Amino acid sequence: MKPVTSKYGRGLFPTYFKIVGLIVIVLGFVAMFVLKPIVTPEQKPLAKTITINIVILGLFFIAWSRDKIEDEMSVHLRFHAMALSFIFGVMFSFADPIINLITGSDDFDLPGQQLVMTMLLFFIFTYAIKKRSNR
Amino acid sequence: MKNTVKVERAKLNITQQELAEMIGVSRQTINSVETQKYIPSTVLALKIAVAFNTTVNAIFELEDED
Repeated sequence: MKPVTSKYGRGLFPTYFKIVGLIVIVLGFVAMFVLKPIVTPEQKPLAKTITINIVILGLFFIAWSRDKIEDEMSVHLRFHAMALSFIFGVMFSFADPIINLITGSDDFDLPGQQLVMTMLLFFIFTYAIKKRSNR
Repeated sequence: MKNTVKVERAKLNITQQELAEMIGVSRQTINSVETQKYIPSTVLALKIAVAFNTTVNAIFELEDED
């Protein structure tokens, strides 16, 4: 019987995108440190947005790339991890302002980038843990 | 759902990896099916049955809580 990777891996990046994602994340952090002394205070928000977006792109590449063997169980685990990260995202958006209130911070807005990054990280770790527990 | 995949595999004297390659899934999937952590789809159950030259009913059995 032929491997089912191609069937279940549709819509996902190739496996090597996990490494591409890691490189993009490293580049994002490098850019963060390189740009810090160069940018003017006016350019700071733009530089921050760009570097965070680079890190998010890297995380997305890792999260959305195929496993070596992509079969029905990996799809099942992927969707389960995705559902959990969605629930975590909703809970995080409720918890973040409460934590800020407790810690005395007056910033109650949760930036979309922060939420997306947290959800992506949660998804990547949840999926990895689920895969490991099914070994 | 109970299954006798491990028993059938032992009868044929093949490893999880070999069975996984026969039906085109990962070794982890076979291990999860054997340890009842994962209930396979109808397609995968049929593929397992074909690999063991038997029927799905002979390998998979419903339990009271199913």
